[in-house]
Amino acid sequence: MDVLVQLLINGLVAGSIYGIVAVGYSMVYSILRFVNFAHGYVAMIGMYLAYTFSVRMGMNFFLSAVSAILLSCLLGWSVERAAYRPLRRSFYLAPLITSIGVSFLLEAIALLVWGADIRSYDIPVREGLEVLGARITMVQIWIIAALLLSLMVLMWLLNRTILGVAIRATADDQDMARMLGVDADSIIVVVFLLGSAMAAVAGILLGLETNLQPTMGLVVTVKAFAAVILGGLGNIYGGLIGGLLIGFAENLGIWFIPAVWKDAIAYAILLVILLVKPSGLFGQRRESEVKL
Amino acid sequence: MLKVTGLTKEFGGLRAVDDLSLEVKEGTIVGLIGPNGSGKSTVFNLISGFYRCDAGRIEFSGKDITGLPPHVIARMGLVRTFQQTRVFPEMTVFENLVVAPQDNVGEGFIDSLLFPRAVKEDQKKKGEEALALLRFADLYEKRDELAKNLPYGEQKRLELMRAVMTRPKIMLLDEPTAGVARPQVEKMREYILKLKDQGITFLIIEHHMKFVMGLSEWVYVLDHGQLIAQGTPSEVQKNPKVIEAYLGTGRMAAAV
Amino acid sequence: MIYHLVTLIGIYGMLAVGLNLVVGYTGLFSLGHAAFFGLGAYTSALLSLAGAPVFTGMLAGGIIGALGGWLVGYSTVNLRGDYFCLGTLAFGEITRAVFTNWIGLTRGPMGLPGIPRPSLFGVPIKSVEQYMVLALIFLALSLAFAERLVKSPFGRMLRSIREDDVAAASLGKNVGRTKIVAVMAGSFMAGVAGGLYAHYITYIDPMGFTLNQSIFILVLVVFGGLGNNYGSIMGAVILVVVREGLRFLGLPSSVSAALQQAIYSVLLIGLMLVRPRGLLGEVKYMTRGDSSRSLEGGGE
Ligand SMILES: Nc1ncnc2c1ncn2[C@@H]1O[C@H](COP(=O)(O)OP(=O)(O)O)[C@@H](O)[C@H]1O
Ligand SMILES: [Mg+2]
Repeated sequence: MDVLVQLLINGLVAGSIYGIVAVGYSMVYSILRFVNFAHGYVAMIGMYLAYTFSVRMGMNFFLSAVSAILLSCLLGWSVERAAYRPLRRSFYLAPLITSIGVSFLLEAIALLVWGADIRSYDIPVREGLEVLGARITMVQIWIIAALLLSLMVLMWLLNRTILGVAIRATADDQDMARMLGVDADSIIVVVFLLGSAMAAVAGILLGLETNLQPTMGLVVTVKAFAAVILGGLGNIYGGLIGGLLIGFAENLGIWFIPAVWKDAIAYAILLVILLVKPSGLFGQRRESEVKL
Repeated sequence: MLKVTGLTKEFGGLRAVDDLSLEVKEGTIVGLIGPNGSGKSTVFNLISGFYRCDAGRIEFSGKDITGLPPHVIARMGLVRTFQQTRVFPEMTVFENLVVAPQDNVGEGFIDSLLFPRAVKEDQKKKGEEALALLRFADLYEKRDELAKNLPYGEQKRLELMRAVMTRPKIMLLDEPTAGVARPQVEKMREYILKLKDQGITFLIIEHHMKFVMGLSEWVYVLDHGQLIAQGTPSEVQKNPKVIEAYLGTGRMAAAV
Repeated sequence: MIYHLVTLIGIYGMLAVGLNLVVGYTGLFSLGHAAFFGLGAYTSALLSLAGAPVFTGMLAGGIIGALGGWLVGYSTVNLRGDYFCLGTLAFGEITRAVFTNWIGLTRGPMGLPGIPRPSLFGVPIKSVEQYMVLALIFLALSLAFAERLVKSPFGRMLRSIREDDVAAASLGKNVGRTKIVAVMAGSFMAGVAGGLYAHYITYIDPMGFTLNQSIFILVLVVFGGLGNNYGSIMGAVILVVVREGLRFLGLPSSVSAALQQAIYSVLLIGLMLVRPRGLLGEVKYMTRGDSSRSLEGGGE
């Protein structure tokens, strides 16, 4: 029983993290209509930046996190500017190929700067709460709080501000939005800034929950994408639910099968969704997905 | 030859096509008109199998084709064109035609590898057929140009001829004159009439009223997904419901 | 040394030509080519360790690779292009998890040592020179196979599907089946290449079949030019030489691996920005209207 509750808590925490990345992912996708493979790698870089500031430079952890998030925004913005924007009229595989190039460049940089060894933030483990005989650590509580906070900020931005209206209009119909005077280019920039910020938040939380490794970029990219597809592409909050489900599935999965298969679970879920219900749980079936 | 009954399609609560029934007799040209957004293209997508209908039945040559995949329907002899022209942009005009026939030898994985002689002979025949069609369509001079470099009107014509290469029994044309310059509209009309003489049946979506009215023997009028009128062109033109539907969207003036 | 390089080029060239069929000609973006490579390698290695003749093992490797291709293709080929990309990625990661964790079969991270070298008509192929000839023969066969395929009406249909699969379906082409066949052909070649590799190195472990390996093969194809079989081979020649060359700079292995990765990613990004169709560009297999025969032209 205790173990089961513990697994549920771990699932909730991991799922929240995947969910945050997935939300940013769907936002970028809904505007640009291409899979930004590099998204999870921005999370990974954000994770390491916070490490440099807090562990190497001895800054306060909260300040380090904020600086890392801001720098990640800058990174996301430069990637969009330097690598994606020039390709907007190029052939259709070009943005995808480029984003893969960017991803592997970021991973290589992380390997060269921080090395392949596993690292962790030096956060003292503090007593957590006891829930039904399982322990939820202080860090885990932070993670869930941070998730709720970022979601609230995002929802407020999207639903209550002019910027949000413009973003949603651009996602619906870029040409129409342009005709109405929305500058699509600036919206894309904003979305990249927002998405990168959320990715960095998730990266840092993931670093807190587990530890730091350059391969995290791929893990985050794939899990977030699985979350997005599970939730239904084009449905921003679907990504969140998808993330939670994947978090639970992975952590409860090791109740049944050896833990070494944990990562494979997300991939298997991804394949099964693609096979059974490619539009995801909450997505509209797009007509172009009719079997040809 | 083509018979549709009770066809219905919803997009997230919006009834794009609502309980539509229509029939196309062999050897005729039938028009399908209606204001923008009235569901005409959706009807084509349903008939040709690209969308799955929520209710209704589609019969072609006496067989139920509801729910069959597009390529199977096309192979039965029902071939459609698209409102937004879809030529193969990086292939030449000639290639766009020779790729189309459904009985091309060498499109199977095995025979493409094992029977070069048969492939060659078949390709020669198809090539001649394509060239004849290109002459017919006044595209012969452009045969070696990439399709993407043709002006839009010629792309429309190319798309039509590509469909002809499949030797269809019935063709569904989605706005064959949209975006086409005036003089070419007249040509398009001639091509369609000549193809009809060769035994092809047509169901044509048109915006350009004069064009369909002149061609069709029978016209169906769609508004908000529903059939609001049908009849001979002159009957339909006088029908007050039809006039209202077009006036309502302020398009009659543009359309006539 | 040079023989070793050429052998590797033969193997990677075969991988690239197979992947080009999928990515370059059919327009399906695959991130899992190393999985088929690995399936072929493990199948062939395990069979021959169990006593089967090496060439039977390689053939079986190709078949298992093709079955893997069928599986991925069947589940994703009818979906949006991005989904195929992720489906192949997921398949790749799952196969790697299997290679790593099914210890009873694959010995996991310890790998399979002592994979036998083949013998041809009773003559054992022992030296690197001999193996190089074998690899080149395989490469030539693959190239001939791929060229024949892409120049045939089948290849033309592949290109039409790449250009616009909806239009192709509207003409009566069985788009789904054709894509799956193309994927299976590509993964068959990868599977055979896997066998070729396993019996050459005589040792395999899961690290040879990672996502990075898939990306490396992809870079070979993109570098030479999507839709150009000779370009794929050229990509293999140049990049395999660069890769093996880097090993001789004497850098610590952790640095050289990262450096290598950085070089490939910069190449990939730069190429997309400057010359998205690759160095050689696509071969124009235009069928001429007046002569009705295939002509090959230069790049763009
Ligand atoms: N794939 C789709 N998804 C959602 N709505 C669609 C789709 N296709 C068409 N519609 C909607 O169905 C209605 C009819 O569209 P359409 O058939 O294209 O009209 P027409 O061809 O008569 O101009 C429109 O309101 C359109 O927005
Ligand atoms: Mg329409």
